[in-house]
Amino acid sequence: MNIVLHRLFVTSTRLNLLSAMLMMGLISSCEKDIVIDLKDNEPQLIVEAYINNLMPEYNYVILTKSMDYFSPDFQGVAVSNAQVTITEGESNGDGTYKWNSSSRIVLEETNNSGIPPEYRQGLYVDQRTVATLRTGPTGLIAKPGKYYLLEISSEGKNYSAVTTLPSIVTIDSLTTGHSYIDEAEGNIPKARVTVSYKDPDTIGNRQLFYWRQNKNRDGFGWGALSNNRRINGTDDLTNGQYLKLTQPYGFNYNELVTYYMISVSREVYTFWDSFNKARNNDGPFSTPVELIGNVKGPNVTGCFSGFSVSTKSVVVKP
Amino acid sequence: MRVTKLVNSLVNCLVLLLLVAVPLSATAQDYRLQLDVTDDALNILSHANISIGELKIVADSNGRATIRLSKGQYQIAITAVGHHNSNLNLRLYNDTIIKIILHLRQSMLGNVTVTASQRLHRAQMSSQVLGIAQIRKLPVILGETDPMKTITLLPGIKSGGEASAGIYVRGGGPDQNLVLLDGIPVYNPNHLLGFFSVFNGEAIKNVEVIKGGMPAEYGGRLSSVIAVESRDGNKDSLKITGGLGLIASRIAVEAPIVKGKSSIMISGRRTYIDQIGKLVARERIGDNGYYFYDFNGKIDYILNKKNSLDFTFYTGQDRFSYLDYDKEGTRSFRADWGNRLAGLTWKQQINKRLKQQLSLIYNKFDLNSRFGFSTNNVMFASGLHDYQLKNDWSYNANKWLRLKGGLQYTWHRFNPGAGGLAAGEQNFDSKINNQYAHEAAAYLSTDVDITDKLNVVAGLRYSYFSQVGPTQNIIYQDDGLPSGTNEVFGKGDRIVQYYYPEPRLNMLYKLSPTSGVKLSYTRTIQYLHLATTSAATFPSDLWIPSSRRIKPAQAQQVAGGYYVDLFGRKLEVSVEAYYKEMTNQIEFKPGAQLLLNQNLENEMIFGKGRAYGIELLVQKKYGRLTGWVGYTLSRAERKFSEMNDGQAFPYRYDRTHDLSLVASYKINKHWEGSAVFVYGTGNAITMPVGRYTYNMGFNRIDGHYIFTTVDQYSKINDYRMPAYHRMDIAFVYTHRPDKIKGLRSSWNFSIYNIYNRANPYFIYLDIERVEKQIKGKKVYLFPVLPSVTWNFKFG
Repeated sequence: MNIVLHRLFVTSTRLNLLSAMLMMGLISSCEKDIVIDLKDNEPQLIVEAYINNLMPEYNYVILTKSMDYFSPDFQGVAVSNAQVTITEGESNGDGTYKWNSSSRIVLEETNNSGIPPEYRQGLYVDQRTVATLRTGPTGLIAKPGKYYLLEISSEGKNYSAVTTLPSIVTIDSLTTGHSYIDEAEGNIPKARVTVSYKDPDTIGNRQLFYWRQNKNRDGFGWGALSNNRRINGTDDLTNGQYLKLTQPYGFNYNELVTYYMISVSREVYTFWDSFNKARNNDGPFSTPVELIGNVKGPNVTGCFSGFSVSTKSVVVKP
Repeated sequence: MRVTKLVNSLVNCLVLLLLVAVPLSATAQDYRLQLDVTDDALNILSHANISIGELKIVADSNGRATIRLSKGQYQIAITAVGHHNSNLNLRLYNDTIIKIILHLRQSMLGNVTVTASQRLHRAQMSSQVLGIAQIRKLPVILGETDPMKTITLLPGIKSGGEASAGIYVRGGGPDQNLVLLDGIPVYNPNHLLGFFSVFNGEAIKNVEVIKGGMPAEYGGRLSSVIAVESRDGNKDSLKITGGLGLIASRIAVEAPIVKGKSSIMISGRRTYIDQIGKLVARERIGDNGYYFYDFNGKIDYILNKKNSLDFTFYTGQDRFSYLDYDKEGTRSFRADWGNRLAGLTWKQQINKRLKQQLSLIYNKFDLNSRFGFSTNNVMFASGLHDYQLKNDWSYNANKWLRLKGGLQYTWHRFNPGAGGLAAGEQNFDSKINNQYAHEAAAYLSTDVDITDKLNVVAGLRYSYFSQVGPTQNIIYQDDGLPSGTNEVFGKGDRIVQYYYPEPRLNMLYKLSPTSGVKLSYTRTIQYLHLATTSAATFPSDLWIPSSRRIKPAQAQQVAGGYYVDLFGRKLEVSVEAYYKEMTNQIEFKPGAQLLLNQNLENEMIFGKGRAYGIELLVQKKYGRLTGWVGYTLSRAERKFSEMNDGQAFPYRYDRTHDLSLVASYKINKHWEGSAVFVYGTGNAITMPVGRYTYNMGFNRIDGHYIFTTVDQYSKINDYRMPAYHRMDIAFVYTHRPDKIKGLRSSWNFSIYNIYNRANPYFIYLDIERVEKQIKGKKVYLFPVLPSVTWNFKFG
């Protein structure tokens, strides 16, 4: 019973009527182990690629392969020895692009000593990126308004993806407040961060939010940053308004929080929205969610994410 | 192309039938015999079976049967579910009207038959009627009598499983059923995630299901008609009936307003699981709770011999509230939803052959849910308001020709999912525009006995739909981005209109007095769509109109069948085969943005559906042992170019084999037992074929890798859940079965899922990262569940 509840309710950021009724004991359910024979899997190339305007060390490509569901491997199967390039260009406005071949940068599998060897496999970076992978500033960097072409050649097959960086939306202010006592973590007082910004007058703006705090300050990779995507995927209804968003996450007092507001294209938003749905895809009301990526090629899944980043920091006060 | 040809030829056939039929009339030496059938409370008994010598007819929904016969002596027998038979000898030498009163069987439960014997005498195929007496004695979960659950025991009609609201008729979706309460459409016929329907067993008389060959008077839905008829009050004296159950109780009070002419019946029901929960575990439950209630009311008034009025009223509401605390603060969830229905019908017998019925109908469905984290609130509200006017005419030209015609008009207002997002310091809000539409239809149908053996019911329905202002539409480009311009429509301005002919044909050819073959063809159009998404985890019924982008859904169905009565009509056997095609079926595209999206239509994709199958029904209707065996072999598919690489895939509720066994046995005067066994192929679901990691990172402080495991999928609905099967039993004890006045009562003891089958509610794969184990799991809801209900009747 507890496992079911955990599955249905606690691990999910979503809530549904049935799971709430189970919690309240109005109805009950039970769980049993069964044998599930799955159909055979055809391995896919998985592309995790980023390009942003602020942090060169966060522009990288990770290539892995999907595996059998019952495979004992949990951290993914790295794909080495691929040719990976990124080229800058412009849109011709008709769905075609003008690529500037002189801007083409080759990304290579990293040999960075700051990263454990087993993690380096399948991680492709601009080798000019400095050793610590923390403090920039050399290496590949993107410009808002430009388009970027990712080309991958691996095991005799070619893949490509195009992304763009929309205009940067700046954070007007970052404030803290909405304090509460966190009973689940030993009655610690916590506060929340409110981000204020003006939605641009153009329609079609979408944002993702990431933040860095003490516990992930030294982390590497977008996956190591806390994130929140609980925001509507279109600004049709809030276009041009001044917005204040308070994220529910609670921070310790006096903690330094760095917020990243990331403007993305609809394609990139859709991908991360599908990712969000896929990772929370539990329970009876869920349907299988496939990631809706922008990488083209034979049997491939993934996204080349163009991130227009603006940032601000705040020390958390009650 | 072939289908269009078929439609054209059917329309031609219909016109021809009309032309042939009209000039003919009855011969002069015939006399008119009218039978009006009521029960001992003087309430109309509809659909009674009448045998006049070798001739079989069925009374209409007003309890009336009219026939022209030549002078002579006749043996007449009248039978109806739950009532004693009536036999009379009649010498006919003049136009004659006879009132027939059928007495209720002494047992509160009455007879046990599916009154499908109607089908013997009508060309109408794929139709079944279940009386409340029969529904009441079958075992049900937690003892709550529910006609919507019982009809899923009939072949071709499937439920989605436990805790699933939908009813799936011949491969159609749950929104494709026209669910009617006394002719009033019910948009959401469910309480509590489909555990219970809105139909209170105390208030209803019978339920009729038409799963194919839909008559021309019905329309607006593709797959079926589920017509629930509520009970008239007692016109003779005050009666109180009711029941006490484990989770809900109900009561009905009925009394004459003017004796013999007018009655009122009011019934109510409320669940009390919330109250019991608070008694048992106050701390755990706190102010959280769930309950539903509903009220049914009916007033009927016989103004004079030719005119009567009926007023039906229903209101019901589900209320759910939940509050929880977790590390991110409070989270809360509230949902209220319900239907309000009212209908006033004036029935008029204009002359011996012609009658008409005029109905005014009001209908409202509302849903409000609010899901909140401490600083985020998501509101979801949707609703639908209807005002409807219906006028139906029927004309019995002579003993071999009957005509029906009518007009229907509905005004719809839709609130298509106003969403709101409030965040901490909320300084913005949003609302999605209401939408409005007119829906209308006209129909004409003829019921002709072309020869003694061949009966044809041919009808044509012509339906019209128009979406109108006031509304403001944002114009979107093909890529889904707003173009920057808006289109404004004033009140009543037409945005788009659609109209379609819907031919309907039913044919019966009698091979012998006890056997025959049937054929039917129907085309149905549906202008309203129910958009559901499993990604929206709260109750999210969202009805939306056809629009410029969303075309009306269409279906065509052909069916053929054979029936035979064996052993002196003790056993009825029927076999039907059907083939159905549906177009403009709606799904949300994968990854659709649903909340706060003004441009929901752009998130939809449109595809086709197909269903075919064979249904077998064997019924035993008389004797101590009664019941039926229903079996369906079927296939239901969907095809969307954007899904499954454009290949057809099985519908989630595709059920290859579906079997129901229903039996009741009268043990003695006091005891009656019944049992139900069901078996169905498991639902078609999509399971992963592999997995991969994404959103990777590395924490330098603790040296941990960070990643998310994502499932990889291949074909849609390519995996079958384990089969569903279950057996339930019930025993009814009637304390003093011979008592006909005062307090009478009976006990219903039932056991749901007697052999404790763990039918999967859902299955999933569980990854234990620490133990590095992957396990398959199934979650099931109902183990063996006994229940007891006390039913009483007073007066």
